[in-house]
Amino acid sequence: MKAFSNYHPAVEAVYFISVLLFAMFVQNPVIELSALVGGILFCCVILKSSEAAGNIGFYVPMFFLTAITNPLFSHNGVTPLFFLNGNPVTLEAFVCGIFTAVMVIAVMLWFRCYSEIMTSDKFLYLFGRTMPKLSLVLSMTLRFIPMFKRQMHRVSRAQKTMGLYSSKSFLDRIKSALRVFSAMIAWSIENSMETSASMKARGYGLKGRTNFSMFRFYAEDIILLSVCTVLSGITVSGIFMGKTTFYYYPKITELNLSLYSIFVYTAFCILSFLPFIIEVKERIKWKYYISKI
Amino acid sequence: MLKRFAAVLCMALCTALCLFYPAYGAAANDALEIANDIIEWKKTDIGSDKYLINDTFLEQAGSTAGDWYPIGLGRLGISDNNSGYLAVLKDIVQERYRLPEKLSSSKATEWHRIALAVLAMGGDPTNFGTDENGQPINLIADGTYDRGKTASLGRQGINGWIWGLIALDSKRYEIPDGAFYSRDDIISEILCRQLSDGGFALSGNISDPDITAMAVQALAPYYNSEKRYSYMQKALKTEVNKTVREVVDSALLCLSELQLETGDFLSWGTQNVESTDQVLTSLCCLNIDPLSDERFIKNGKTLLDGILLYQMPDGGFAHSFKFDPENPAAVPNKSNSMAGEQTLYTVAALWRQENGMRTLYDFRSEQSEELKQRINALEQEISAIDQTTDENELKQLLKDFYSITESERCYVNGYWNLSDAAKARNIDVEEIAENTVVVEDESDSEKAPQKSIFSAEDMKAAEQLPEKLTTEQYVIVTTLLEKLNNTDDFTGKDEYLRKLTSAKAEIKLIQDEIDSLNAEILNKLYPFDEITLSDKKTVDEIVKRYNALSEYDRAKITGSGDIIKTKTKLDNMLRGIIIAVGLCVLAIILGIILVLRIRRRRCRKAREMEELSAMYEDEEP
Amino acid sequence: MKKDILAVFAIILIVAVIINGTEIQSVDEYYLTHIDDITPESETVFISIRCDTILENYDELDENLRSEEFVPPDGVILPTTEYVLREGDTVFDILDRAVRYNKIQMEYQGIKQNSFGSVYIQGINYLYEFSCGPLSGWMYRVDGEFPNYGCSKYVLHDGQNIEWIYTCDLGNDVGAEWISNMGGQQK
Repeated sequence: MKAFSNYHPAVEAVYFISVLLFAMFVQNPVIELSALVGGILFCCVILKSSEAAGNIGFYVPMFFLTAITNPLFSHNGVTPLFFLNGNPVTLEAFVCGIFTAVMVIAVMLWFRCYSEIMTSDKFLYLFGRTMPKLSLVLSMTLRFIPMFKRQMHRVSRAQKTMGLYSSKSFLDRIKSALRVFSAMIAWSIENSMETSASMKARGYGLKGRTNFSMFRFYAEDIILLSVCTVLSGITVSGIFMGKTTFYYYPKITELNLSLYSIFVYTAFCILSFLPFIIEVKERIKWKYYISKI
Repeated sequence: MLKRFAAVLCMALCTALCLFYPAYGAAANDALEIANDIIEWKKTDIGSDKYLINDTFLEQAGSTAGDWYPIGLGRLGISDNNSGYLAVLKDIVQERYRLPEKLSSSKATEWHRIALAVLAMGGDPTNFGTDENGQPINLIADGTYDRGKTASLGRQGINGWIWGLIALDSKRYEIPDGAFYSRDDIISEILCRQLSDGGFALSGNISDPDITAMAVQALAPYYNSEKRYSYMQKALKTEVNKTVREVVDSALLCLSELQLETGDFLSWGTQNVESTDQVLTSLCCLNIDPLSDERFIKNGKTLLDGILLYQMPDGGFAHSFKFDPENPAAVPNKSNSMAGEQTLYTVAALWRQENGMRTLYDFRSEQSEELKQRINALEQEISAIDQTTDENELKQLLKDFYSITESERCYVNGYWNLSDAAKARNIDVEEIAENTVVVEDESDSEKAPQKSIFSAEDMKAAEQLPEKLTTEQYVIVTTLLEKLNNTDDFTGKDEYLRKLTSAKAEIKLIQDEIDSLNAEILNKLYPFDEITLSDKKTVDEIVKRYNALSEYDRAKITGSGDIIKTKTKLDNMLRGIIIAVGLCVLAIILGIILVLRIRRRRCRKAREMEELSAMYEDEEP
Repeated sequence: MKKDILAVFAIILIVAVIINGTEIQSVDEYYLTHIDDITPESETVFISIRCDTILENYDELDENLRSEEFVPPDGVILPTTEYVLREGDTVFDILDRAVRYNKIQMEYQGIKQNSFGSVYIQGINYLYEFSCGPLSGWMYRVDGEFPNYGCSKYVLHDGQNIEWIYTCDLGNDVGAEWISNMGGQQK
C-alpha cells in the first residue's frame, strides 16, 4: 500500500533531505505552509487512521504552545498588539511564532514520514558500503532503543511473574527498577558483543564483500529523481535570487508575488505534495484494477 | 463678484496701512478714534458683537485682565454692559471676602483696581456688597486708610502706596477718625522713595518710567498745594523738606530725559508702549497738554506719536517690537491685551482733557459750568502776570484762588506762576490762604442709584435657563439676579426671584464641587507610582464625580488627564489579577488532567499484571 | 506520554507567565499610563525649585512662614528632577506636573486672569510673591538665562534645565540682569 516506499532508497533519501532542508532553513511562510500541508497529507495516507487521530491530539496543542511562546519572550517588532507587564507583544512576534510553529510541526511530521518510509535496511543499503562502521553504529543504535524497551518490559514482567517485588511500596519499586536496569545493562552489552561478533564472522565491511539487496533502479526512479532535482533546483534558484526572502522583524515584509516567485512557490508546493500525489495515484490505479477484475 | 471682493480687500488694506503709519503729530481729537479701534479689536478678540463686556469677558472680572477695560470704557463715557460687570464683580468680591485674606494677603492693589473699576462702572466702592457678617464691604477703607490694620499698604512695594493714594483720591474720600493711615502718611511714603535723579522705581537706583509716571499720577491732586513735607529721602539718606510740586517737577524732568527720540520709553530694557501710556496719563492728570509741552516732544515726536508706533493693523496695540527668536510663541508684533487696556485709558485721559472734563482718576461728578468759568478766568489772569503786575492784583488773584474749594484747586493751571510772583513781592501766601473764605461751588449732587428694569428680554433669559445648570450660566444668573433685586415689584417677581436664587445656589454648589474635586485630585492621585488597588474606591469615586459634571465644568478640573490615567492603571491592575487567577485555574485543571492520566495508566498496568498473574495461577501447583 | 510532556510544558509556561506578571494593557492604555516614564529614547527636561535667597533675608520673611516646613534649611524645595517632555510642553506644564507629583503646594493666576497672556506663578510651597519683602516673588531660569516672558509661553526642548528661584530683590539677588516688566506693571 505504500507506493512511495517502493522507490529506490537513494531517490527517497534525496527527496527527504531536500524537503527537510527547505522546510527547516527557508524562512518563508508560503514554503513553510506548503511543507506543513504536504507533511499532513503524506502522514494521512501512510499512517493508520487510529494513529492519526492520536497524533492530532498531540500536534495541535504543540502547535499552539510553540506559537504562543515566541511573542511572550520576543518583544521585537513595530506593531504592538498589547502590552504585557510593560513589554510590547507585537504582531510581528506573533506571526513569527505561528510560522515557527508551522515549521516545527512540518519538520516533525516529515521526520515521522521519514521513519515510516526509510526503514533501517534501506539506510544500511545506502550507507553500508561507503561508511560501514558509521552506518552499522547508526542502524544498531536506532534498532537498539525499541529493542531495549521491549527487553526491559520482558525482564520486568518475568521478574514480577516470579513474584518478586510486586508489593506497592515505593522503595520496593525502585529496587525492582534498579535490578531490571542492571540486568538490562548486562544484556545489552552482551547483545552488542554478540552482534558485532556475528557480523565480523560474516565478514561485514571487508573488501570485496557484496550486499544483497532488493533495490534496483527502475525508470520510475529516474523520473522521480529528475522531477525532484528539477523542482529542488527551481526552489534553490529562487532562494539565491532572493525571491523567497522574508523577514518578520522589525516589520513583516510584504510577500514577493512576482511571477517568478509564484513559480518558485508552485515548484516547492509540487515537491512537497509529490509523495501524496504518488500515493493517491497508486490507490486510484489499484481501485481501477480491482473494479476491472 | 471677484471684482467687488478685490475692491473691499483694497479698502481694508488702505485702512490698515493708514492705521499702521500714523501721521506725524497725531492730534488729541484722534483719541476717541484710537479708543474705538482698541474696543473693536478687543471685541473681536473675545468674540463679542454687542458689548465688550460679554460673558467671556466677565469671567475675568476682578482680575488684572478684566478690570482695566471697564475703567477705560467708563472714563470714555461709553456705556457698555455696566450692570452686568458690577453684578458679577460684586459677587466675586463677596466670595473673596469670605476668605481669610479677603482679596489678597499682600497686594493692596487688588482693592484699588477693583474700587476704580467699580467707580468707572457707576458703582459705589464704599458699599459694594456685604461680607459674611452682613456688613457692607468698603473697598476704599479696607484697601487704603485701614489697610494697615491687616498688612502694610506698601507690602508689595511703592505700587501699593501709589495706587492707594489714587484710589483714596478717586472721589476725594474723607478719612474717618481712627483710621490707620492719614493722607499725609501715604503721600510721605511715596515722596521718600524718590530717587536722586527725581524718578521712582520698584527697586534699585535706576528710575523706571512706569513707576515714576504712576507716582506723578498719584501726587497730581496735591500739585497746587503749598504744604511742605518733611521726610527722610531714602535714596539720598538725608532729611528733606519739599512741596509736592518740587517732587513732581523733578520727576517730570527725569521722565523728559528718559524719553527716546521716537517719543516712547524704555522700561526694563524693552522699548514698549505701556511706559509711554503711563507718562501721557500722568501729564493729563497734571492738566498739562501732553502734545504741546516742550519737555515731552523729542525730535518732533510727541508721546502720542510714541504710542501710535505700536498700533497694529487690527486696531489693537503691541507691547513691544523686540522679537525673541528662542520663543516664537511670544509674538512681539501682535496686539496684546495689556498694551490695549493701558492705551485705552490713556486715550480716555487725553479725551477727557480735550473736553474739559475731570482727570482720569478723578471720579467726582463733573465741575459745574460756573466753577469752570471761575477757574478759566483765574487762569487767564494768572497767565497775564508779569513783572509789572500790581501787588494788590496779585493778592486779589491769590484770594480768588483760595476761595475755590480745596479739592478743586488742582484744576487751576499756572498757580505756581502766581505763587512765585507773589513770593517775589514778599506777599504772605499762607496768610491769604488762611483768611480767604471759600466760596462753595454748588456742584451737582450725587445722583441716586438708578432703578434697573427687569425687561421682557431678561424674563425670557431667566425662563430659558437650562434644566441642568453649569458654571457657564454663572454670569447670566448673577447679572439677572442683581438686576431683579434692583427692580420695583411687579407681578411674578417673586417667581423669578425664587428661580434665580435657587439657580445661583445650584451654580455655587457646582463651583464648590469643582473646587473640592480639584483638591481631592491633588491630594489623592499623587504620586502616581504609589497608587495601589486599595485606592480604587477613592479613584472610582473621583471618576464618578468627574463624569457627573457637565462638559463645560469638566474643563475646569485640573489634571483631568491624570484621573483617566490613574483609573486606567487601576483597571489594568484589576484585569491583571483576574487574568492571573484565570491562568492559575487553567494550570490547576491541566495538572489534574495530568495526574489523572498518570494514575489511569498505572491502574491499567496493575490490571494487566493481575490478569497476567491470573493467567498463570493454575499452572503453578 | 508525549501528551503528558506537552501538558507539563504548558503548565510551566503558565506558571512562568503568572510569576512574571499578568498585567495586560492595550496600546493606548500603555502609552497613557507610561507617558511619564523615562526611557533612553524619551526627551526629558530637568526642573528644580529653590528659595535660597529667603535664607539670606530671613528677617524680612512673614512671621507665619518662618518654619522649616515652608523654607527648607538648605533652600531646596525640589531638587533637580528629570521629567519627560511631552509634545509642546511649556515651563508651566513641567512645573505643574512636578508640584503635583511631589505634592508641593502651588498657586497661579491663569492665562485669563492677567493681561500678560501667560500663567503667573503667585506662590510655591506657601511662599508667595511679596512674602519676603516688597520685591520678592518667583522667577524662572532656563539653562541659566531669565526669559522675558511668561512661563506658559516658553516652549521647552530636550535636555533643558529649568530652575524656579525665589527672589527677594526683583531678580537682582539671583543674577538676573533684568527681569520681565511684569513685576513692574502688575498692580
